[in-house]
Amino acid sequence: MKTIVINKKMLVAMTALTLFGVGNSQANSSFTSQAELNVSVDTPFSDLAITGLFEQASSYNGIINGDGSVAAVFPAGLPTVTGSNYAFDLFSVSGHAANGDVSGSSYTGWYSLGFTNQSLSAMSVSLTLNYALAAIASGQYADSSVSLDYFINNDPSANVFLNASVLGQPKAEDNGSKVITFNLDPGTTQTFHSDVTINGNVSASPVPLPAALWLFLSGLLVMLRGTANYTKNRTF
Amino acid sequence: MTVLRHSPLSFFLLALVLTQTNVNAQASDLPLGPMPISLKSLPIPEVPGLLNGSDPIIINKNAAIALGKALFWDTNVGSDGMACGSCHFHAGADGRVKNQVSPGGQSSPQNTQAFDVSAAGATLGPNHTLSSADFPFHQRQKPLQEFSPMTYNTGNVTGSSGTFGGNFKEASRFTGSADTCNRSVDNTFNIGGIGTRRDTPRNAPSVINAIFNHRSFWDGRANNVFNGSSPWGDRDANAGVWVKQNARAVQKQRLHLLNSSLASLATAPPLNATEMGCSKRTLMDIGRKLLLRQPLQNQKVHFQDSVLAPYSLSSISTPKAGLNTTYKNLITQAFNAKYWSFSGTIPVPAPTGQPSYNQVEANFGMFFGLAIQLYESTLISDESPFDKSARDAKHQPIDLTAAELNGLDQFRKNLCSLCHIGPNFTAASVNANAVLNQSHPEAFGEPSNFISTTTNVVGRIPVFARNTAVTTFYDTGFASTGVAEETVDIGLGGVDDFGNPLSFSKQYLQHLAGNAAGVLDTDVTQVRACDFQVKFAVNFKPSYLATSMFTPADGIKPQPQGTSNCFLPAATTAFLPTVSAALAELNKPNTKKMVAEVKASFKIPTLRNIELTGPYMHNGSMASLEQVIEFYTRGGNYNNDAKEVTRVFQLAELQFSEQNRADLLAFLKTLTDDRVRYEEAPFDHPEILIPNGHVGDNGFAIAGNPLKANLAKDEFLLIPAVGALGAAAPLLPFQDYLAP
Repeated sequence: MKTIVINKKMLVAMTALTLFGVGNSQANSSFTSQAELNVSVDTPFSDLAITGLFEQASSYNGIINGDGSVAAVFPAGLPTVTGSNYAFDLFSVSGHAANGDVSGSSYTGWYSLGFTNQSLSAMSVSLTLNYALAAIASGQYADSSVSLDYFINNDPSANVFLNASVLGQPKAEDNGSKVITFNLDPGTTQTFHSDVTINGNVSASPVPLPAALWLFLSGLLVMLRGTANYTKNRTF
Repeated sequence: MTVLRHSPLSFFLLALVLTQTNVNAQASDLPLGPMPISLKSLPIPEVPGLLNGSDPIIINKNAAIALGKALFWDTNVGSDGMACGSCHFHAGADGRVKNQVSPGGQSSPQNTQAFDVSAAGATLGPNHTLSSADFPFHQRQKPLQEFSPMTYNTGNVTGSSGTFGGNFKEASRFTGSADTCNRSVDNTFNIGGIGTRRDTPRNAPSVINAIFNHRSFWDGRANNVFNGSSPWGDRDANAGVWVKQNARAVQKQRLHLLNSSLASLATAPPLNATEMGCSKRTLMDIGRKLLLRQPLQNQKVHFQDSVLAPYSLSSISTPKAGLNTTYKNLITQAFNAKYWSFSGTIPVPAPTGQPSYNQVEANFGMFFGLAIQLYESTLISDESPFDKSARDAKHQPIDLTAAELNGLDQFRKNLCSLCHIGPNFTAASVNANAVLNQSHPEAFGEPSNFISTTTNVVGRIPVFARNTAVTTFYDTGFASTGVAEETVDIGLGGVDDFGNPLSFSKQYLQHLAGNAAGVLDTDVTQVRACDFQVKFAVNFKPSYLATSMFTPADGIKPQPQGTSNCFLPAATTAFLPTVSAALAELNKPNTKKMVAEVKASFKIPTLRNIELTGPYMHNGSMASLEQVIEFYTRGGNYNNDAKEVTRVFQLAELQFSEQNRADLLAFLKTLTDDRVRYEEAPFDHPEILIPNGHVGDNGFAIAGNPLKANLAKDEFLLIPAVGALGAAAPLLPFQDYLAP
């Protein structure tokens, strides 16, 4: 039976493995979720004034433990206007943990387009909300959702919801459009709202390597040492 | 000191005469009582607005059932490892025999009660392993005889071992099963200063077929109306659910879901510091703990589970714990988005240092209750030999043996079927039974002995209360049979969390007397006088002494409801006392007309699968069906005021015939569905690890529980995951698990 002798180099190598966390398996968890919105006004009128705005409604990082982290990128306040199209920047939130967690993070952005009828006659306004929503979760535990509510003034809202979780569906996307129409009396203003909320949670804890893996690594080192010795000691 | 008050037969016969009852109580002459019929005949009472209508609460029933099954069996629901299924794993009931004793019933604080010494000489204290010699908890020299001297009695209860208790602080959203609670050694449940798990003061009844019950819990405190957040129905002024109005507004609204007592019930045990939770924990806290988690995170789920297989991570060769989703995902699949999609926070105070609750957390009580109710609505055992038998023209189940058929006759002759009535063998299935009244009249009696079975939530029956024969109101589906003294547990005579009577009969008296504030449950106002078994008010002057009836001389008025299909002749009985007459009578100290005797009344349990659901009675005081039959043969243990003396009295046909008793037992066993016995679908389940007493035994425990050093180390019962095809070994009757 061959006896494994741990020489100084092996000891150094194994100590390094332990010190650098190789004694535990990598346990990164992360999520990235995003929303991209633009609104095209399908029936532009010359005397229809339109103002677009994005507001950061709420930012809550959640409860963070260990090395958990979360970050959000909000769109600029004003959309890019191209003809009758109002495009907002990307709204994204990402979270990460390798040895910690983030629970209950929640970010909400309010998108709005205000329509003012400057003419003397009523208008029937039609617009199309185009949205691209996505959520990705990966690692030991991650879960994230994107919720889009759109509505006129204070009316009841319609909702689009998607969720990604490492438990089940790790990637979710929804690219769609909704047509909204409303009447606008002379001299009045109505506002079309799109509220987007991105929630996220991640958790990760280092997982101790099982004994079998330790044996494998030890064996591997022995073999490496043996190979090295063989190479070093060969005489031809 | 225990005092037995014996009521001779003459007492209740006199009562019958005085109260003009329709019930003929003389056993030897009795016509056959109601004929039980197959459970396949019984419809589940509809819950308007739950799954139907323009805007139903649940939009995906299958997802809701999966959610309910996961929640029911998940030990993460409890604060220290208790699931609903921990006390309902054995044919829907609790089959454990270790650390199952409570020192008394629900009417007194447990710390004022004491553990007794059992009939076998063992202390019925913490960590005691029950033996067959410990039962029954009330013993007579001659168990079949009413007047035989009592040889043993205890007010102790075979309940269910639950939690260590403690005050809730917080719970992780990701890992760990136990909540963080301030735990300490319980004053009652400890062995030499080592804390043991507490025990419930009543026995856990089976959840199978419970969906048919009008109200739930032994004392009916789980209201028929589910309010979304507590067991109390419309009684709870603070109850409600948070409904999204639009993207930026949410509103708390009242919920009034009928026929949902199982949802009402489900909201209680997780918050009970004896059953499943630490005190001061809320359903919102449980939602916060569970929503992001994998359902059944630490419990294997069979790859052929009849409900959870699509979510199971297991294969035929590798059983695995957990489902491939989260509780939050199951909720968003199952429920209408207006209950969970609001993005803001809810204006409900959160624990110090904790973030505000979101909508899905705030409504977790509704999700939890309704999902569990829907899961339990699948637990219907209608494949027993009794159900599967062909019937002859007289509705006799002709496939039963001669002995079983004689047992059925005994069941009907000896008045069992008056309370254990209808396909579910209980009058507690009020609305379900009422539907069958017209289509299956045989289920409610023969023409000469028909039992009024309507949606009336109160009825009238003769009793012998306070040494007087009177006709009392009683709550439909509840009965006092004299199992224990009423001081030990007053059952339906108790009050809710707000101090109001649980009893509908008590409320009905207030309704008659014009006290609207005393009426908390709308069912009470819909009671029809013409559907009572025994007349209440008549529009003529009787030729006999009518001490328990209102007559024109007292002041009467027509009943406000219609009179179609009345049980009694509507022309003479569809009347009520005037408010002034009712009030005047109610104020009399010895009234015989406005009486509601309900103390020590309990919900009449189903008899289905009764072979497997011991121990029996609300206090678990009988271990075997033989002991139950002895109890009814001698006419009960105590003649409490509410005892239904016209139904529970010494029964000659059983007393003098061992064969009749054996046949009755044989008949009761025909009510066992083998799918229940072998845990086949829909009675299959995930794996569950159930606390089963502590390391050590009666009077001995070892400290060092991982929850706290001065708490006793747990022992566990591992119930393996079972798939739709069931288990190889059958479930056994309770007495088979008892120590010798």
